[in-house]
Amino acid sequence: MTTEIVEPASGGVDLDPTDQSIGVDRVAADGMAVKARSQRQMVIRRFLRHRLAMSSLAVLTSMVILAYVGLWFWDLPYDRSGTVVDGGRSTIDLIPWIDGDGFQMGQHPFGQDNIGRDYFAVTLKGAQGSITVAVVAGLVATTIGTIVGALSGYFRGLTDTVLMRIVDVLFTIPLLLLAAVLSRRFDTGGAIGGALIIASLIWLTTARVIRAEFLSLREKEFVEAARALGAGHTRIITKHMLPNVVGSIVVSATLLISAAILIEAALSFLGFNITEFSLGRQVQTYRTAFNTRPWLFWWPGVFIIVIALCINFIGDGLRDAFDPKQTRVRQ
Amino acid sequence: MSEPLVEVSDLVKTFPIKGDGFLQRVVDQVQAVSGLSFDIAAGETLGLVGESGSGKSTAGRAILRLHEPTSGSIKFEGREVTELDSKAMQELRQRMQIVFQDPYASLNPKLPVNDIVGEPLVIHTKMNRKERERKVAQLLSDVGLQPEHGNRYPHEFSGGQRQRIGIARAIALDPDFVVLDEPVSALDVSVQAGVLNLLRRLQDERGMAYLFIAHDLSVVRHVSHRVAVMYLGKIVEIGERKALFQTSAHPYTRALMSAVPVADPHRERTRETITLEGDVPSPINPPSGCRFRTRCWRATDLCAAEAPELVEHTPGLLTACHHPIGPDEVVTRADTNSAVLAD
Amino acid sequence: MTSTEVGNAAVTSDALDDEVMLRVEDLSVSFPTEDGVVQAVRGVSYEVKRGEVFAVVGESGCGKSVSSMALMGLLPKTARIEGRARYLDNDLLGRPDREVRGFRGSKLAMIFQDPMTSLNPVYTIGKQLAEAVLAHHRIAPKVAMERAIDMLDVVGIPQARKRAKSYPHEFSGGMRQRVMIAMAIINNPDVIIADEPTTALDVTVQAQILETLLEAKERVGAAIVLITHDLGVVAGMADRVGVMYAGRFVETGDVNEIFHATRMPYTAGLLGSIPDLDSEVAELTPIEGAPPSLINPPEGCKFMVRCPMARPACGESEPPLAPTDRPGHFSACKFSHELEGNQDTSEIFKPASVSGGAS
Repeated sequence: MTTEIVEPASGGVDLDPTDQSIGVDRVAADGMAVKARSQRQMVIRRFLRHRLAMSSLAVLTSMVILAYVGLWFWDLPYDRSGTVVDGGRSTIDLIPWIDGDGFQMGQHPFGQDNIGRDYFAVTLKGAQGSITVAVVAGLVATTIGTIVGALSGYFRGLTDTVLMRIVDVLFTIPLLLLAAVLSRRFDTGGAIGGALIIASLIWLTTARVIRAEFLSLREKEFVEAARALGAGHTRIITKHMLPNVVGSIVVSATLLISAAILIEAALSFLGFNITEFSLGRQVQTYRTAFNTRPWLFWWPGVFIIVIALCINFIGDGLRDAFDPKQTRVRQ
Repeated sequence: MSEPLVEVSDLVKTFPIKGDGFLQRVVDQVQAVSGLSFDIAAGETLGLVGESGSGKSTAGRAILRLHEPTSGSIKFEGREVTELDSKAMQELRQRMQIVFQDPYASLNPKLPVNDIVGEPLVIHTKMNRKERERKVAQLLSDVGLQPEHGNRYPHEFSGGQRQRIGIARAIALDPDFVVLDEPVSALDVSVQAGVLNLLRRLQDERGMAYLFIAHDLSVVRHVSHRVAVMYLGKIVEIGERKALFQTSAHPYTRALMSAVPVADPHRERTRETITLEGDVPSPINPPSGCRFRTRCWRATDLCAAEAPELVEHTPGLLTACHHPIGPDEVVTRADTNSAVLAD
Repeated sequence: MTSTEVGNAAVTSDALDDEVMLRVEDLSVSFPTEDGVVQAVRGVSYEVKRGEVFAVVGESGCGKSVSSMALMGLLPKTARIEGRARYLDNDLLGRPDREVRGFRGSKLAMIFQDPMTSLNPVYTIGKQLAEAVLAHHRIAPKVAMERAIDMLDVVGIPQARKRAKSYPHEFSGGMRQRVMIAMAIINNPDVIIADEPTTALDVTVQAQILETLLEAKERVGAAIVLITHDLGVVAGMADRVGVMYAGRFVETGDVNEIFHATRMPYTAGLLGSIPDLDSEVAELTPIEGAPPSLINPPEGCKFMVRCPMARPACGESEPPLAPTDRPGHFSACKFSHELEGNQDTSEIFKPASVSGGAS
């Protein structure tokens, strides 16, 4: 990603006709080798300046802290029922300045469910479950996708044909249906099991992306140079190729995590158990209460939307940080 | 010349053109290199010149088995390279190295220079970290870079400096033979001269043999002991540098030399030039017989029927031509133009 | 060459010969980037007369391409362009696009380095050429197509009528560049800007293309701004030369002056670093170091750090392009007089020790 230094010299992005040549204008970077700033620093700097991504990161972090740490400090456990007060209404002041009494959490900020459990605690527990499933699924899927894509793109030939045909076939099967069947077949219960089911379905795009990157990287002269030095496959893949696709891997991981959140919610909503506690499951459970006690439906729903959105925005920010050229086109 | 270091005979490399579709049937062949033979003595530089599509780079890579040769033999110190298994080949890679054309693409952007130059040492030696660092620092200063810059990344260097890093990597294990694949054609002239001087100095100091691949005749003349001219996958002329540049018998070599513009307005505007017609034909369907005949002003029916062999027409020079140009013969513009009308 | 009557039919009367076709005054281009403002072009001025070939020569990154793309309106929106450029009596810069579109592409034509990217792969060559005519003239498509075929013939494409029906991928690199020349001259331009027109081509093809370009120029009586890094091409083609370094001209003058009466150390260094095909030299003389960064460039002469003649005075202020002892010859060097009477000016670069320093 030396583009950063090269661009000023050649002036334009795609306009410069000399860009195509071997290096005539790329050598322009000669004079421009600005300051010694590593690419990692560049990526971080660009990400930090991406406002939407940064605020999403802040929101997401606070939600995660709230879900995992907040539950500890909240004195009402999620599994203890009690007396339903005021029909279980939320006691949180959503618009505190209207009635003039300032911000108040109240006893049950998110209200109570029909058996008097504190719904704030329940929602946080659900968020915990959803986030765990999504993160595990996203990471596992990224790993599978990266490995398959890397092998496919590096070895090409038969390996590539076999692996990619498998991917093609999997692509044609409706995802949700398959997940539903799997979750029925293997009644997992735990978050990890559920995560694995989701992961086994969403790695396909990552595999294709990484394969494409490997195919083009493989033709790069530095990879050829490594072969000429006598470096083995493992060394070439891990030392020379993978570090050059970190950007794509990170971006696709974030996108997979947000996809996993939504898939989990959808599956739970359809009544297939992915994990015991999850936001999707709460939505499913209380969808019948929509008319009577809508907050039981809304709170987990809002959580799902906010988490998924935040992760998507962070993914956007990362992509722009890793690949500044793309940003420019969009503007 | 004693026993040659590298001996290439009848080297052929074809690339299949695959059709679309599931089975990816081979629909055609590109004959990148068709029957190349030459040898290189220890400490010698053989310049390999040709235009795009002549197969010169493919030849260089095939000799190192970066592209697996389709057929033919490559001998390194008398040992057949094409028959080595992957382990023996890896061992041999210590002794034959390559420097690439593009200084931007040939260095891994994610590794600091120390790791790039030190990689051959990691792969092939048992040096510990300390020893390796010392060796890398030595190498960097050998190629005219400051050893303190070893922990920087490639993008912090200019094109010429990067090419020096690539050279340091190639010579790290003291190879006997280095393929230089257009090492200066991506560099500005002012920088190019420095790299050429460096390559020459390193050869003097270490006695390496070079295969210097280039499209630029003036650069090749500057660095080579012997020169081979390639056209469409075949050598059309090969011999001592002096003989080739002064008494070339092949019309293509003459045309190629004539086409290089001279950086002197007076000479450039008064000299006799040969302008070839057309472009290099596609290597998928090369012309029959002599491959140069479609652009040659001396071509006859014989050229279409029969491919010429490399024969010594002038001393010190092997030429593949049915109608070689005599050493004292001067080709004028008029000669080349009259032939075109006949075409 | 196919039998094309190239030549003298076109406008080349003496009266018109001195007509200035393109005048660029104090052109500056800068690009804001994350690391600061890149001053790609810093005050470039030149003029080109009818029938003249003006070569802008320099190494990569010196701003030679950017300066011409500014004239053609091809720079990204982020570029800040200052200064003036006039084609005959028309201002080219600082005006809305639609006002200059009329002569950009017709009276001012451009030839790029890579012909493949400038041709649309889905249309035939003939159609694209005809389209170029129709964009500027209200004539029947049939007439435009005839004009296209004529032009293909002019640039030496055999069987022009037949080849006009071919698509770009059916042409070889050299043929495509001929098509680009045809496209450039099809509207009888007054100025042709050729940006590295032969860099992507093989030498044996380069010679043909340069010849074609000159013939085409004669035919329409245009001026050529030739942008190149190849001093050999300059030597063969140019009437006048401007040598660019770090965004501005450091030496301008007649082509013979530049090559044989060099008054700027940088030019001398460039000339000395070219390996000569006709002579045997043991050591080439490189210019040590690399061009300076154009973000906050140092005070004073930008070539100072690489210059063997440099002394403290060079760092004080950037020398302007000033007249030298020879007429029409300008140099931006405070000590250019020291090069007077020097036969082989590249001598000054002969290093004391060869190995030193990175290039």
